[in-house]
Amino acid sequence: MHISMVGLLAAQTLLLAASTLPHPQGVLELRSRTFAAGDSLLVRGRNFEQDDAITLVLVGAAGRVEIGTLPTDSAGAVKGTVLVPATVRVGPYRLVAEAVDGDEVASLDVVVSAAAVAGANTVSTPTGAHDPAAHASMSMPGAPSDEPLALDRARSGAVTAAAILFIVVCLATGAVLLRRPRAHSLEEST
Amino acid sequence: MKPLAERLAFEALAYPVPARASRVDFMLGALTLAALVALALTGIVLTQYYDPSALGAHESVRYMITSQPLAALLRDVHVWSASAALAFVMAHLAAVFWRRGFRRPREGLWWTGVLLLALLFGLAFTGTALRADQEAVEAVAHAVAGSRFAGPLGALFRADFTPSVSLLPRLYAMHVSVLPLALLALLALHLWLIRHLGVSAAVTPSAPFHTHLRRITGAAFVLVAAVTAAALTWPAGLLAAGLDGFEITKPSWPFLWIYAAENLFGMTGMLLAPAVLFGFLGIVPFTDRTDGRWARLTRAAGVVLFVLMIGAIVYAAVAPAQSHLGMDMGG
Repeated sequence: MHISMVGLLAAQTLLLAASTLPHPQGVLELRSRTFAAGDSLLVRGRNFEQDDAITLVLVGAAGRVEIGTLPTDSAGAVKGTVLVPATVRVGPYRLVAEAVDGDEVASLDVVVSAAAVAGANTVSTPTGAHDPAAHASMSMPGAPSDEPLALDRARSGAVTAAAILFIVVCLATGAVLLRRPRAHSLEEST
Repeated sequence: MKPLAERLAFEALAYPVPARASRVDFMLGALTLAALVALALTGIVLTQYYDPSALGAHESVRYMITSQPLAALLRDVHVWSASAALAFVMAHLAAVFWRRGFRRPREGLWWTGVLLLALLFGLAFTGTALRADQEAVEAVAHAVAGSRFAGPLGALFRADFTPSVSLLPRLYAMHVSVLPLALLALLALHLWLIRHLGVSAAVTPSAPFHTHLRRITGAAFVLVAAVTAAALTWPAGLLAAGLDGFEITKPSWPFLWIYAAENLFGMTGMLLAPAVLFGFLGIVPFTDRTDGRWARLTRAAGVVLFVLMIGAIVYAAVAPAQSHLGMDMGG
């Protein structure tokens, strides 16, 4: 009796462990991460549970807004269109894909903007100026790279000269302070 | 000078410390602190240029590099100081472990040091994430995937944790407020314990602290000069804006040992490697209380872990990038 109870408990523990095993990490892809309320959103994704479904939820300051459920195919991929409700407030959101048991399996930072702005973000700014919309356009699915960007670094003779002077001053100060002082006993100093 | 010294209570700095405290292996903690001060000062300036919004972060870093010479240099100093802080803190940890600086009554000193190390890793991780480039996006993806294994401890990485703010601004808040404040509090406790328990237990104090302070300040100046020179010579790069769903980069060197564990054991390895390291560091004061078999075993285990960690960093640096989350390798 005692052994069977232990066995039952062990089996329950295993079942619990199995039921809490995480889902595969999915990937969501959007044509643009900025869109407007009322837009139809083409969503693609992969690495999800096979022959299952994901529910897409916008999570933001205004709360959670479920925007649709898409079925996954035998490869764990999804492709479909969901409608962003016209009532969703403008602002930053996280687009979360939830498995059927409610677990978060993928997410993406997005912005719901006024209709005119949403259209504008597909135009990149070639100047490299500080423009968030430029990043939005670069974030669309494409070819990733592990090579550092060949950026035209801002240079200033004054900054470089000041840095070199700073290095020299630090080195000189350090050398003076690191010089071993004459024997300094505790009695002398107190 | 004397009136100033009197009013600022400089004589309080004449308390005794061992003469050997001015040796390089006793200065590693102070050098870590110097790097942290450089990080704090440069970081404060960088906050004036950085945009922590999910869609603006990468572009703001790019803007710093391409349009603001001083901000670009300070960012490079920041990156190099971070590397210096992590290198010195690891060397400090190894030196204290070797000297058995965790034995009674110095256990608190050891544990605050271990927690400071964990916070430094947290700062390095959140700092990497802020770049929002490919390496950053992959680092965050790993953290999000790992958070599901971590139960409630991983709540921070879930969208529902604070729905009004996306993940990147939350990591930014951790990087510039939560982690530095925790670091400051722990550092204060660590320094207070050093002041009251002494720099070293093994030798009778024989020199006034201000001679030690003079030398560690000198070493700190040399470190700042070296870091600035490195920043001028080898500026920190930036990858293209990160794309989700790809695994093509490797983490920076302080995380390579975790990457190696992930190569070998998958996600379990990613979570297990830090757990083993910090678990070991946590129990050391219990297993090495007095000389004997356990003390010898602890020391041997520490040496093996250290060698494994260095070996793992070297292995991960030369091994080709691997996919751990089943994502696209970009090829």
